[in-house]
Amino acid sequence: MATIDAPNPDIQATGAQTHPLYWKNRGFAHHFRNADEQFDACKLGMWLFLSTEILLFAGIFCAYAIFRMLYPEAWAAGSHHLDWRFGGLNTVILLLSSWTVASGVRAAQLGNNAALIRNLVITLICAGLFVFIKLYFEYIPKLSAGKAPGTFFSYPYAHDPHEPLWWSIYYIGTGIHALHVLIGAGLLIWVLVRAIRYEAYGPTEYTMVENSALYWHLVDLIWIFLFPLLYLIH
Amino acid sequence: MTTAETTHDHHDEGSYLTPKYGVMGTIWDWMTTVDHKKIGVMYLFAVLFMFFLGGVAALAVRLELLEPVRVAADGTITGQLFGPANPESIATGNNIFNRLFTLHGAIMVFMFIIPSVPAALGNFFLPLMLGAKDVAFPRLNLFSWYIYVVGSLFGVFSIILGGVDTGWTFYTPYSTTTDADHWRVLLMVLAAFVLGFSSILTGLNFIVTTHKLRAPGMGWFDMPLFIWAIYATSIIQVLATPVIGITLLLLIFERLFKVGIFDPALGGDPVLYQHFFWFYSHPVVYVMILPGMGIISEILSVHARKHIFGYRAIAFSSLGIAAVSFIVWGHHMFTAMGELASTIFSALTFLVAIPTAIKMFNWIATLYKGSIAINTPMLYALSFLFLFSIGGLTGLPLGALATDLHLHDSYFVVAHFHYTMMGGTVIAFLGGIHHWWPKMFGRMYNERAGMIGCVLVFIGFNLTFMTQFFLGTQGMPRRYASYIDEFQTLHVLSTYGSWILLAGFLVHLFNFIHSLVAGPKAPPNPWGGLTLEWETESPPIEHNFHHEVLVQHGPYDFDTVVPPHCDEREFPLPETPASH
Amino acid sequence: MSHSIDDVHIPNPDFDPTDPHATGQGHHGHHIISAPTLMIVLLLLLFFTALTVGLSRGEVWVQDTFDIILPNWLNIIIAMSISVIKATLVGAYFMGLRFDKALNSIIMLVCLAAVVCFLFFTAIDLGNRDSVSAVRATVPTPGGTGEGLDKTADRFSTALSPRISTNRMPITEFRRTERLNELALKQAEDHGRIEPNDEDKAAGEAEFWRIYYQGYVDKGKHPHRHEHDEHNYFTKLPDHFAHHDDDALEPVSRPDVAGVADSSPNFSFRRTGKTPGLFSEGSEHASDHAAPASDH
Repeated sequence: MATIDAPNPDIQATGAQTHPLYWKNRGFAHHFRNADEQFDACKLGMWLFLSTEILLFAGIFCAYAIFRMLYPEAWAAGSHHLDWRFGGLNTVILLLSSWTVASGVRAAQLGNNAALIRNLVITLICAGLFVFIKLYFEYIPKLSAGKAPGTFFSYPYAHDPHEPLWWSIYYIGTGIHALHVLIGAGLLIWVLVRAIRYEAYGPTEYTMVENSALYWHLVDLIWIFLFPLLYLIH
Repeated sequence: MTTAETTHDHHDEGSYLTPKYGVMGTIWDWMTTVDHKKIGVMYLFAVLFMFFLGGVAALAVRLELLEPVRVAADGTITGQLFGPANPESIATGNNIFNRLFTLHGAIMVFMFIIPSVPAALGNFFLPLMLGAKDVAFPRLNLFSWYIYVVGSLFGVFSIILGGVDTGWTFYTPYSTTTDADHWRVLLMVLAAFVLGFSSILTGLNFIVTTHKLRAPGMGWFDMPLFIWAIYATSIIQVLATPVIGITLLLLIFERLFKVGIFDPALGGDPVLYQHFFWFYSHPVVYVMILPGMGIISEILSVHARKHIFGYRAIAFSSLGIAAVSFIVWGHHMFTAMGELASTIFSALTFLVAIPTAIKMFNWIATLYKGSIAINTPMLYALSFLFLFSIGGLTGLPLGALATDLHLHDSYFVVAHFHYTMMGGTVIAFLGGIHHWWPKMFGRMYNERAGMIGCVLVFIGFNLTFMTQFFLGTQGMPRRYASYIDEFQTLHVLSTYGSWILLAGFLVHLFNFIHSLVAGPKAPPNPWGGLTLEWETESPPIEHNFHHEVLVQHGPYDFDTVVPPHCDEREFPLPETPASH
Repeated sequence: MSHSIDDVHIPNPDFDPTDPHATGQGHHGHHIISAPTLMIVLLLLLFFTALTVGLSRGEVWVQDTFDIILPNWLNIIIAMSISVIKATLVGAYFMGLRFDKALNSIIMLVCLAAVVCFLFFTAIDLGNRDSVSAVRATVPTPGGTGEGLDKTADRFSTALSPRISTNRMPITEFRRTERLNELALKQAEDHGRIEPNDEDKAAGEAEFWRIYYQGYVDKGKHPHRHEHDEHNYFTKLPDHFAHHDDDALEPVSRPDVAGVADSSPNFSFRRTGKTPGLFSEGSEHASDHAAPASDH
């Protein structure tokens, strides 16, 4: 049974939308006592999931810290190959997108579907821009110059013998972060489609918006730490 | 315990096991079920199958060690089990031996023992014991089972392709350089990576369920201790498993692309891999043992008909173990680290003894003046107390820096962790299966056969692994296919022990099959338990309870409460309430 | 009745802002963060981003203008403090932790405690290999031994990495050698020769160093913040490229490694903290020339 058998008669009487995904038609699963409990449970689950994501990135941060401790010159030399203007621009883009997605949650809470859609679209544009800048202005020129991780390293003008290791950490860290940007964008597209087609989110039903937004903020949080660690060291 | 009439009555429901749609329909129903009970049973069969695979590998390893491999003066070879008997075959035989013990370790750790108690018994009983209708995220639960199956298939596929010889820990550089012409090491690493997600999702689900879905009237300190243990386990699963995710991902990058993070050829450090690996894998040994400890708390109090001694101490010690587990991982690497870190980790390691000993003393105090029923679950619980004490106490010389340097990577270590993992977790798991078998499948098993099986397992286990303590102190290193002649007597005893162990498991297997086919029907509450799973039918109905449950007594109030569905003559209350 | 989580219960849809889920009992209401708050938080975040970039640029400016090299830890502490403030702002307001159940914040704190344990204890080990007993102090080969890379050439058939044999050189040194040889060949070709002679090699090397420093000449700043005598490239350069620090212009003796005399930067001041034993073999040039650590 994928949908509700019969729409709520009250809704039919008022002539409101009858699609089961319309936010006023949404109920809660049978094993919860009420919708609030379900919302809290979903949000708690999301926070636990976010903590696993943080620990996943902790591995990268730990490798970064250890090698920066062991090879500070390599880290300084490697960082000089990165342009802080691209990193800074991407930071601003992610912060803006975090703000729009937070505004989107607010719009859903207030039942303003148009504002929700608007905010999500801006967020997705930001996500696209971020990945574009990352790929087009950073990864591709660097890789074609041979500034690549590990044995792929073929840049002849290295200042420090440990630079390949720096590039390994750089590509793995930013690469996994970019992957999370894409996953987050995928979630937001899912939310956007449902918001456009079914008006699925409103004051009593915005769990999915909230949780996707939390995921997006996490992507932002990780970047807040990656940016100075990669771009702003000497 | 009373029940409250609510709108969610489930009076006319059958058992969750009742097939409804014909053969194919039933299979489809099970494959797409979101019912935690069915998922728990599916996990149970999956992990028992993996236990069988890992067990076969273990028996083969023991068989090879029955005799040392020797080349006589005339060129004849003795004791070579794997490969043809010619001098060149010794390397081949050793290679096969390496693959077998890796296979045994990887399967037993990642595919059997980590999901064993939490995913199988935990899935089935956590919602029941909380009085909930299901876990918080039922679809995620099914998803995690499928992830488990996919991960296990990767592992099995890697074995079919020829297996890996890195050891279950995938230490670099073994894991980045061996079998360089093949994908199977990657497949095995990928299997462990995928299985991690299954573990994370199960833990996440259990934490949310425990927080949000406790029955009305059930406070945190009205929860059964099994739930406390599973809760502490879940915290570790959620916090530690992501780190193995990134570790194995880095390992995959390292092997595929040679990025150099763990490779001294590029300035990296292989010991960093060990730090990453044990940051996960040390907490995970408590993922393995904590649920077992939870089972023991349940079995001892129910079958001794005694209020658990020191409820809060046991509950908090579970959380204490979970907390301490994150700061002691270095004791796996004393020979690899610098002295400063080794000393700090050695000192911190002894913290683990405190919460563990608290539990042990509380269990023993629970038995004091109890009315102890000698049956299979109780025998297993008593075995646990004995074996786990040995396992825990032999951990002390391994945690002490000076003695560890001598015992490191010897059979002493092998015996120690088998006493904790097998003598602890597997024994508790078997006890738990017997304890909850009537509830899960609605049939009683043959008590006499169960007790014979338990005694065989106990004797076989001790014969197999007690000997290895002596071998280890005498200098037998682990992971070797051959040894000096002086060790043969102990090795032979150990191998004989593994056969007795096998006999014990086979007795249990036939007992379970017999119970499913022809066992007498189980009453709802055969042991007189007070936790909520005994409130409902055996086996439980589709939605667990006929009515929404309302908790009005503690899980261990055997002094004051007549157990549900039980006759007061069978489980009499004491004349005067015991004074605490 | 099948066991399905889709047997949903539909609450009364009449919307009441004080009770948005219409559940009646035990309801606490969800906090809706006001638009001005969100805007202020965004502006603060942008301000702190500008601040952290500004401080970092300021550090470069101070270094270039006054030749004051600020210590490494200052950069980390300032940058990380600002990041923590930004992260707290995002967590508290955008993610709503401030208005949420305390449990969610506790989860984050426990998670961060685990991260701290992870970093702290790993760093204790890798940063202090030789701090108790000098036996553990080893002299690793900077840039790695390169030995494993030789093995890749013939062994790995499933690895996607290039199969290179670096002749036991670190990969940076190997790539540099490659480029120098390439340039020498180019010079030879330009003069119609097949084999480069000494003159071509010198010309190729000059071309190499010209490219090496081009980026820094263009930007008008020095290549290195952490300058160490033992790999001072400026001895190679004409005077106008020279470092301010004239003492450093003294030519230092260089190892003759793999035929690239005078152009190997691949040794640096002595480091510890690596796995004992792994770096002892094949590190003859490191042990010969590694000077004791001497920061500034």
